[in-house]
Amino acid sequence: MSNSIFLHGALDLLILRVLSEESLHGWAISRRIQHVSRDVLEVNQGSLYPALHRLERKGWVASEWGTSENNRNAKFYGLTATGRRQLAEQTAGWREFAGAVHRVLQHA
Amino acid sequence: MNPLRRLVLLVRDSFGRQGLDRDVDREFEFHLEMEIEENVRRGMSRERAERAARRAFGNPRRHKQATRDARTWRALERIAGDVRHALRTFRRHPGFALTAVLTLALGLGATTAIFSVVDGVLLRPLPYPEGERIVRVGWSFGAGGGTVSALSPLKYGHVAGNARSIESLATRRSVSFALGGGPDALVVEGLRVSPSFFRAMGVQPARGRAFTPEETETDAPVVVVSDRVWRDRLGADPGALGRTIALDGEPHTVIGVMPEGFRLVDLPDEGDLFLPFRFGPDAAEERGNNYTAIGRLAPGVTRETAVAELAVLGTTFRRAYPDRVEEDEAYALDGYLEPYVSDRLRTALWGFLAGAGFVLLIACLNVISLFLARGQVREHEFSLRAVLGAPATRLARQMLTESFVLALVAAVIGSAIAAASLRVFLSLVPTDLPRADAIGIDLRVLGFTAAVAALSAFVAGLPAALPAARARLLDALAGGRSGTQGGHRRPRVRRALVAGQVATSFVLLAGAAVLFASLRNLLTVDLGFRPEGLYSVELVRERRPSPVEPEVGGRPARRADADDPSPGAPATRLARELLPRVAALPGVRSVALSANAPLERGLNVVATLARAGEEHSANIELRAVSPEYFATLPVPLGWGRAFEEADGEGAEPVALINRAFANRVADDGRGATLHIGRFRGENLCTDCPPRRVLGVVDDLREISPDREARPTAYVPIAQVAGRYDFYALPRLLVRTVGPPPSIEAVRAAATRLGFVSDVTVRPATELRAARLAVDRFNAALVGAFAIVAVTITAVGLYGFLSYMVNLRRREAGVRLAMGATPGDVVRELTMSGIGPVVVGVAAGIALTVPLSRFLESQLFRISTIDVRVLGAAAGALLLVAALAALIPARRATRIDPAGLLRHD
Repeated sequence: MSNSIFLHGALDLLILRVLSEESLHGWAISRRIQHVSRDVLEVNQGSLYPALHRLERKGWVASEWGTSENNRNAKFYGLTATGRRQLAEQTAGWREFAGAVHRVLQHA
Repeated sequence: MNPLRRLVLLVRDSFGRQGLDRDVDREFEFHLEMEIEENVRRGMSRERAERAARRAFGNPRRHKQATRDARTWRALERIAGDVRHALRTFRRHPGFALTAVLTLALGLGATTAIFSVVDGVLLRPLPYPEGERIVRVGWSFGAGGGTVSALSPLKYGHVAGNARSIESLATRRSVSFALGGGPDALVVEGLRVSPSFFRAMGVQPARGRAFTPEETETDAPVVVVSDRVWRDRLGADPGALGRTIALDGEPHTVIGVMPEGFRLVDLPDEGDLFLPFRFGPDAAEERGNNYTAIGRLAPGVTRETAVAELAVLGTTFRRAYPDRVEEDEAYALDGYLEPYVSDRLRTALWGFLAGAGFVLLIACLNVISLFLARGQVREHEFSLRAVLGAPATRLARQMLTESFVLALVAAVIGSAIAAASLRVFLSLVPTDLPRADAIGIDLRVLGFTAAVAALSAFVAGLPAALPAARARLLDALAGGRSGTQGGHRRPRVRRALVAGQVATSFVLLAGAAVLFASLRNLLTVDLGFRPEGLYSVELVRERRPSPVEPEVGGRPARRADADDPSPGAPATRLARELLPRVAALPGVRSVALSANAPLERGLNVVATLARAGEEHSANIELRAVSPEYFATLPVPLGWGRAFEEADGEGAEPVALINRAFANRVADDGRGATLHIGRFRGENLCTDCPPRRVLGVVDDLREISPDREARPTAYVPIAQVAGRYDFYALPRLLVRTVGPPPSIEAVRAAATRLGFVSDVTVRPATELRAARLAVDRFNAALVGAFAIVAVTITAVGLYGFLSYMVNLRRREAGVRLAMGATPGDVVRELTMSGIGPVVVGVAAGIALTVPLSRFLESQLFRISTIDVRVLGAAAGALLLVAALAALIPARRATRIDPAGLLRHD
């Protein structure tokens, strides 16, 4: 939970990355992030859904109602072409940023 | 997602929140369900699983708000809230909303309607590719000589051959033909044009081709037809190209069809046929500037460059032909439509727009006043909201939102008013509006309306928004119920608003009054003859299309028509045969023939009056009349004798001149000779005989009531029939005692002569009215504006006084209780309301003086600053003000003093 301050800035990027593989509904996105990060990153619903809607408003993801694995109505989010470009750009930016933070922590 | 769709979603989500909320709910529900299922799989009971899931999920309402915020545009959502609040307010105060909307709608409607006319006539680009590059070359006669928008053949050739800044110079000449033959033959108007005409206009035939220079040189019988002719007469047949059609019986090959909708905006009825034009062999000798010269500015060339080049060319032309032109004459350049938009029309249209703007201004002042009055009432609401934490800017925004919503509704209603009144307006406009058919309420005009409405909303809402922004908590709360302390500061503002409305109304009222006074002067001015009881009978000549459809390739035989009069015949025949028949009709005192009726233009010619060694040359008005003309009008003779039957064809050529012309030579023109077509010693007309001047007639206002008599010469119609370019058929002027001559009787008499197809009888008073159509229209329109303005002002004044009376109820009540009579109270309150009106009238007079010079060109025999006019306008406004003041003032006297004191 204490990771949330770091997560805040990176959440959009993580969502874009997760969606780059396949379209997912909100619950699956949060589970995927949690799983891949080995339970280090736990996404709060209060941040997840506003983030998804924000990304949709920007046109980076698009949503569609579909049927989930357990046969329920679920809203699936997928990456748009703009979203894909943003993912590439922001990943590079993040790497640069993380490297810089790492260097400062080591040598300052 | 494309940007437009994103914007649509954003607006939809911001305004219609229910749909979005439902979506988010379902999404959250699904999330919880998944969480619960997982918990159950981990071995929890259903109940525990649900609890755990909800705990993990957190507060769904907060999440929902956060999601909504991410989704919607905060500013837009706030605006939506403000709009909803504004609409609620209007529902609670329908009287306020209705008054404000209707006043604004009237102002916006007037502005929109007039703007659509100004836009259509003056601003809109021509409907041709790069139409702004199309120009006309004309000739300026130097100081005082005016300008014609046409050239002589020699000048035309000079410009066409030398000007590098103008390309595709083309000329055109109106023609009309009988198209086809037999019973469905049709008279069609067209133009003979130079081959470069189509390039000058920037429009080529949609099918087929334009003429080649060779076809022009050889006068080839080829024709380009309009889309309309192609559809109506050629059955829209794609194979019509190459077909032969008969024009006045001559076969012509159709080589092209113009695009659909192509029209000449300056000659809307003449674009149905295009035939090749070339100058005749003697064209170089033609001195008159009679050929339109239309061209296109070369690419990248500005008008200034073209003007400069023409100035140089003008100098070369003067050097080459020093005997033909004066030193200060020169080429002139005009825009394509400029010669059709007179300065008077231009001034009038902008003046009308200004008038509509004044109406709108008065409406805005009214709405400001309404807002302020309501601000009074709402002070309590505002202070309460301020105490509850609404930021001051929010309250100001609320006021502005309200005025924008009002303006929006008003703009919609105003546009509808404009669309409806535009039809009436255009039907009343004197016919000479160029491009009148293109005038309408379209997106361009609506854009203007929207901009003006937004500006009005801002102007109307701001004064109320500013104090709201200051949210005077203390004032209102300390003042208790209705914020009377804050109220005392506002009457000054409202008084100023009333004064502003009165001043603006005054300007319109004075403008209307002076225009009506001018119109009355024009209707009562002495024309020199009596139009009452005088009638002009116009004979419409029958047109006979060729009766035989020609065979392709064969020459058509034209039927010899015994009834078809030679050009010189009609006048003489009418004189001989029709005159006595009409003169014999009951009630007819005398009948005359005249090429043009009085109050119609005569023929404009140059002439020289020669007398014993002195010569005077002038541009004169030439009127061909029968001997009875002078007795029929009647016009008194100064000296000499009128025409007689003996002054006919073959007799000695004679003429009468008017005083304005006779005064130019000594001894009233006695013993003078008139040389028509002679100018400063040069004979421009080879077969015009010198005419002995028989006498002098009094000056008449024969052209128009507002025009002084020009130098005029009268010649016997029998001597000039067919010689000058008069109308084919002369008018019959009938002087009656009692009712007008029966049209049927005249028609029967005329049609018996065989070449007359119809007859119209127009009273001379109607001809005078037609001449004054523009003046009548100006007065009616500005008058309508003034009435609307005064009405709105009266509403504003009434509102202001009602408010003053409310404010002074206590005082009035106390005074009544102390024994003042109701009359005293009414007088006092009325006077307090008249104060700002007097100030407004004074300001109006001060405004009228500088503004009035814009009216100068529209007026006849009245100064724009006429004491009677200003007095009438002031009186009318004071009267309306007194009436508007009386009602609320009387209400004050019905106050029950005891009740009032108890209430306090």
